[in-house]
Amino acid sequence: MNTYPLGKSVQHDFPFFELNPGITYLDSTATSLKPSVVIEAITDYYSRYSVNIHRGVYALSVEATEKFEAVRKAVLNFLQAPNEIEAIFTKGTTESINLLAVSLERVKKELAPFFSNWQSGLEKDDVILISESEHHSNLVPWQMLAERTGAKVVYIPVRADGSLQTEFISQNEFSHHKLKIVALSATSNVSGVVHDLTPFRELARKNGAIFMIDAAQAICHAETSWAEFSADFIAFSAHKMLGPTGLGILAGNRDVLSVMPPFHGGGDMIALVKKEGTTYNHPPHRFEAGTPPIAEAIGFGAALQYLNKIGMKNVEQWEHDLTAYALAQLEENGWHNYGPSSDDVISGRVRKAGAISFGIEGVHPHDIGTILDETGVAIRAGHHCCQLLMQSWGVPATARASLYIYNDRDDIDRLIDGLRMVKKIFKK
Amino acid sequence: MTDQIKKIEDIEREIIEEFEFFDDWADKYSHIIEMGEALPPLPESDKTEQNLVPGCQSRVWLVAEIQDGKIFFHADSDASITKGLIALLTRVLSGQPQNSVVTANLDFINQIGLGKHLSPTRANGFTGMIRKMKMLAARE
Repeated sequence: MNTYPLGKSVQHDFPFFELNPGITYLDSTATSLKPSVVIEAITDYYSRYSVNIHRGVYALSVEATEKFEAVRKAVLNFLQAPNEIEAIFTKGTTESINLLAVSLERVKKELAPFFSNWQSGLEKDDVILISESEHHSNLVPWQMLAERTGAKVVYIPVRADGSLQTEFISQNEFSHHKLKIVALSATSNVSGVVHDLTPFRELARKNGAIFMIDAAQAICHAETSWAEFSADFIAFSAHKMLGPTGLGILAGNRDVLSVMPPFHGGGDMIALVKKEGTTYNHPPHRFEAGTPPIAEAIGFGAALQYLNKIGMKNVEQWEHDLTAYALAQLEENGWHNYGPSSDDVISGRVRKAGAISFGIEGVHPHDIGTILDETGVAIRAGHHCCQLLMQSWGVPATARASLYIYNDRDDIDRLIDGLRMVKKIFKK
Repeated sequence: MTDQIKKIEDIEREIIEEFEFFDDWADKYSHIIEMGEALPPLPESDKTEQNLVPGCQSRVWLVAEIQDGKIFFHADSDASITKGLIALLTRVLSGQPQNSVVTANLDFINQIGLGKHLSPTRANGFTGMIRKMKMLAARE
């Protein structure tokens, strides 16, 4: 493998570092920093050809449309998706999942040819299976859908290290009620654990249920592929992978999408509008009402090019080494690591992206964050939009340091120095 | 409650002088944490949803009692720095006439050398604490 130097070698691509000297950014799981190429692509669109796309009958609109649609292709290429897969632009993972939940609520029997448990729409006591480890964006939309339809949400419990309890399947038959949806995140935003979704995928397939993956923390940290996900739908966000905020993707099979009811009504999503009613456009446009995030999509195109140049295998390897280094340091100091140990990660027993939740006995995570901030280290402390996981672990919050391509061992050393300062101040 | 109480500005000056003694920011934090530890415990029954200070990421409970036009605060938090901050505010404002609390400008915050940390948008919700204390003091 051709290794591309990361860490300090790429920091000059990110204006953030020059503008924030002395800041150690360890919050990329919340959002990643943006390289100049992304900022320039957005500026170029807004400066030179900031016109609307689709149906423009002049050259600039054609150019904008082509650039926008080229990003759709680039997204599908990035996912190594086969021809029958379509990518819908949304405003983020959260909207992608809400789109899916709202559309599925409106489905009657259109999905029967694809999913045997969908001979009818969602009904009372149908099961939506998620896990305790889900981000609220892959949890609340399903609870809301359940509330509207009478379906019930069932939660797969998590183990202490953040992995999913696969034995949950054998203990639950799912035969008394119809399993209609299985919606799981591929990688935890709290523990960084890359979940083994195989048993849950098989369960969905066996039952003729829809299998959706929240890939918000997966796609940005490792080489992934449509075949590897092997899902009916995947959702993710651009801003976690060097792209702009306000843009996400919902990808799914075109034939399935073409029978699904729309999400929002408005321009672009229609075929023919009459007073008596409207017929809808084909996917992906059916699900993209209104002027889409054009600048954001174009910026995302530049981000994907940048990541392709680096190579996602390199990204994964870099984060893996850095994560193992950080975990070993935390363990050496006797601080609590919520998630797999450095041994688990180094041996490859558990795959883990660069999100590390930790704690210091007797010190509130917010206090850790406050002192680290004074030392110039930016981390996040809180429930990380995963209150069920916090409840399962019996903690109100954790401190979380998260890594990306521009971090290196110096950043981890500064984190550890900061934590020693916390220890000193709190006399722990 | 007939004792002559110190004026808010006098307590503020006292605190500023106290903090001048530390030249290291870490020691200032240690001092704040110690002030929190010295707060009398708040009964569990007072740790209700209603008594939470809005806008704080960590939990801060604040209750007040009013006697003869003076307001007395009792508070607690699950995070030590936040608890120290509410202790600092309690030291300045507890026992003061209601109206003095409402109109206090609390400029000492900017003078104890932790101003960067105590800015209004910070997650510790310092502004939220002050607002809640003033709202409690503004009641009948």
